[in-house]
Amino acid sequence: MTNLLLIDAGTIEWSRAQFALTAIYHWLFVPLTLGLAVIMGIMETCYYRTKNNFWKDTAKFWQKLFGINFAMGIATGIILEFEFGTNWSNYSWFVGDIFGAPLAVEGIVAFFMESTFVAVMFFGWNKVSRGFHLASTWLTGLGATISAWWILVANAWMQHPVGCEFNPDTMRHEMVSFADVALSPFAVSKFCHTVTSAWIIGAVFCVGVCCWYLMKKRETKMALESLKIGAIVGLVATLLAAATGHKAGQDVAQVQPMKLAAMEALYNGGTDVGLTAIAWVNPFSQPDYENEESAPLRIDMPYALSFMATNDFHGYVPGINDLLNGYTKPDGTREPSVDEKIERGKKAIAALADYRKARQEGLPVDSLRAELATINENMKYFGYGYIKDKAQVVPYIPINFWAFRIMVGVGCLLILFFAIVLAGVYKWPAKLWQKNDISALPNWHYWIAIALIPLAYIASESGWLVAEFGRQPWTIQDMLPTWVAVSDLHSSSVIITFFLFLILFTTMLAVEISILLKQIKKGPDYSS
Amino acid sequence: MTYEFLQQYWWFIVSLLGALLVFLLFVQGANSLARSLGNTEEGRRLVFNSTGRKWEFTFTTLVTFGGAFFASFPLFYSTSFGGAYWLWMIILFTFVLQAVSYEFQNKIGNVLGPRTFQFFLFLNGIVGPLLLGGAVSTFFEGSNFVVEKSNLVNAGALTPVISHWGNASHGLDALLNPWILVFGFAVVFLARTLGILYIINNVADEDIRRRGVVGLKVNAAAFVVLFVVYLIHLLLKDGFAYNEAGIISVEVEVSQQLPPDVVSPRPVVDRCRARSLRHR
Repeated sequence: MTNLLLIDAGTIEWSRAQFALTAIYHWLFVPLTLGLAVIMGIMETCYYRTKNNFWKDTAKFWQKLFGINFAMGIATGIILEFEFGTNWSNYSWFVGDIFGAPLAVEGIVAFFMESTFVAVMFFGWNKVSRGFHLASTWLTGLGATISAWWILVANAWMQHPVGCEFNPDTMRHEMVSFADVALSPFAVSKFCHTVTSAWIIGAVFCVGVCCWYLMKKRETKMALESLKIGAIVGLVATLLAAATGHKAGQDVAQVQPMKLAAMEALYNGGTDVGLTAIAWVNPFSQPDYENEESAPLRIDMPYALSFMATNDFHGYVPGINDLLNGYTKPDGTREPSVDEKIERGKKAIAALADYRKARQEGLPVDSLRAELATINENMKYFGYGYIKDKAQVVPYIPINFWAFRIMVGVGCLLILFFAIVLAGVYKWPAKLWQKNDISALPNWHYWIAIALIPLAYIASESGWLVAEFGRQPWTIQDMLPTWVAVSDLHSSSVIITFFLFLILFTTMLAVEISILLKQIKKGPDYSS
Repeated sequence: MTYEFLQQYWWFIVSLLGALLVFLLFVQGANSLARSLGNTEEGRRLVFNSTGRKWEFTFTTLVTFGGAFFASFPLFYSTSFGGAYWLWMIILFTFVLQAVSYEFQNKIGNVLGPRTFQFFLFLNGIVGPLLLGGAVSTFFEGSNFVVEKSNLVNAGALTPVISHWGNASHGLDALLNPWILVFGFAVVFLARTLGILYIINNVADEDIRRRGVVGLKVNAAAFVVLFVVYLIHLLLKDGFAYNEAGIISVEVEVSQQLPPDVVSPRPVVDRCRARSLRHR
């Protein structure tokens, strides 16, 4: 077995921390870009149709806020791309043939499109026709969305590798079907859920800023009109995010059952499983899933998890212990235990070592059919060959459990919030809003809207925590654990860059927030 | 289309992107000269605002260059980026500073003050081209690394990582090689030459143009000298060769041949070892 001792354990942990840091910061800026793109696109469409300068000023104001945020998204994004090479060099080699492709397409197609039209959007007012400018604004958003598409294709592939084949001669996975990778159903639902959740961030931000103006009794017309658009986008996006989230959850149940079990703190599975509404899972320690029947103080919605995972109220959902010890699926096939998978992974690795040795000694492929057969037969569990103890394949349950609940909880709260805001804007039901005007409510109403901005961000980041912590220890599901994906670096180098990035990103975030606040305080520039 | 053809084809694409990137480094070149071109605050702002409309293209090309390398030459990507860690990290760092500086420099409430952001742009203007040039120059000068794909499965391997950098400085060693610096500075002066040409054509300010014309001669001359010197060095230096076992070594004349045990090929197909001249 490969000796792992000479890889500094710190290198793995700090590399993970650095990637997580960059990704978390990246996701502070990107959803606002995607969300505001839709909102300002709608506003500029209003300008195009009405030719009313009010809409032009409104669109320009939101575009200014968009611009302040845009650069940071790009800056953190480039680091993510290069960190695959700098910190995960083995990974980059092992699957670069597949994983590199969507990244390259993203750069060549989407990113260029976005950068070109964003320049027209900022500098093109009064220089290009109104129609062309409107198209540029929408194309900027479309470019950002296509960009997100390719990145999410890449991410989805790591969660559920498809369309590839292992080549024992080149020692890497090679793409056999680009269409399978690019149109993987897992990627499609991931994309839909992520992008609609990004629209929510844009909408919450828009509504929050408008509420601040209403509270200050400034820019009332712009605030009210923007509030309308923000709330409509928000309500549509939250409902879509809920629907796409359901689909994404089903996908996880299919291809990453361990992630689902960790999200639900489901230690022992079965049929007719309820969805945990709340339970006590200590946030700071991994629960004793082997000996506890279920998490304490658990209140669940009967049958809901079975239904969510299998579309059948009586469907079978495996728990953590079932996945560790093996279980029989409803169709009668047996899912091997993790120990069996480890054995088979080791077989694949040993056969591959033999094969390579024989090839280097000049033996022809024909004489190595037995080794090739062993490799192919066990390749599915290749990554398990690097697992030493079955407990390593259980992700950290508390983060998954709580992050999932924060995401869903805040999501539900936001559906309610946007519905109320819309009801207020359109004064429905009329009786209730007779005495109350949404532009003249007591201040605490507006504060709630403003407080929801950071809360929505927390929910959005929580979604990524579930997606990424839930697949630990895998860099690529069942194929490559993090400790085999890493670069050959000393932890000190990674620690230094981690803190350099931490200081850089935090400073720049502080600067961005400060500029955004000043810009909001200043308000829109009116053309006449 | 054979694998060989695709490799050549991709190499052409990556080279084209690299060439475009160098051309677009005029943004960095002009930023590094903003102080001398515009000696007033307004002059400097003219320069920065002028490059501020083009920086996305340089940046996007850099991203695409990285993505194309990842997709087409993953072994290079993983070995160079994971190995020459610090070299690439510093490049990235200065480009991140640059990306935010344009947007933030003149905004109210930018906390650090416009001067700080202008300094970031200047820093990227020098360090970006220098290190990118240095990184490209390692193609010619060689680097110290070992690739052993069997590490992934060999019981006796020290680690499962296939690419190892030969020293602990992780890429900074490249900057100790004077020839790499020569090429790096050639790129810096090329970027500055392009930057001045761009500014002369893009900024309607007589003062800036006059100073640009003066600076143009100095920077263009520096570029030509450094580039020609490097070119001569490249034509005269010993080349690299690889044998059937995949071992890369410096090709030396017969009279200078190293003792056989030093270059004895090991029966390992995917093993390659590149040595820079310093290690002869």
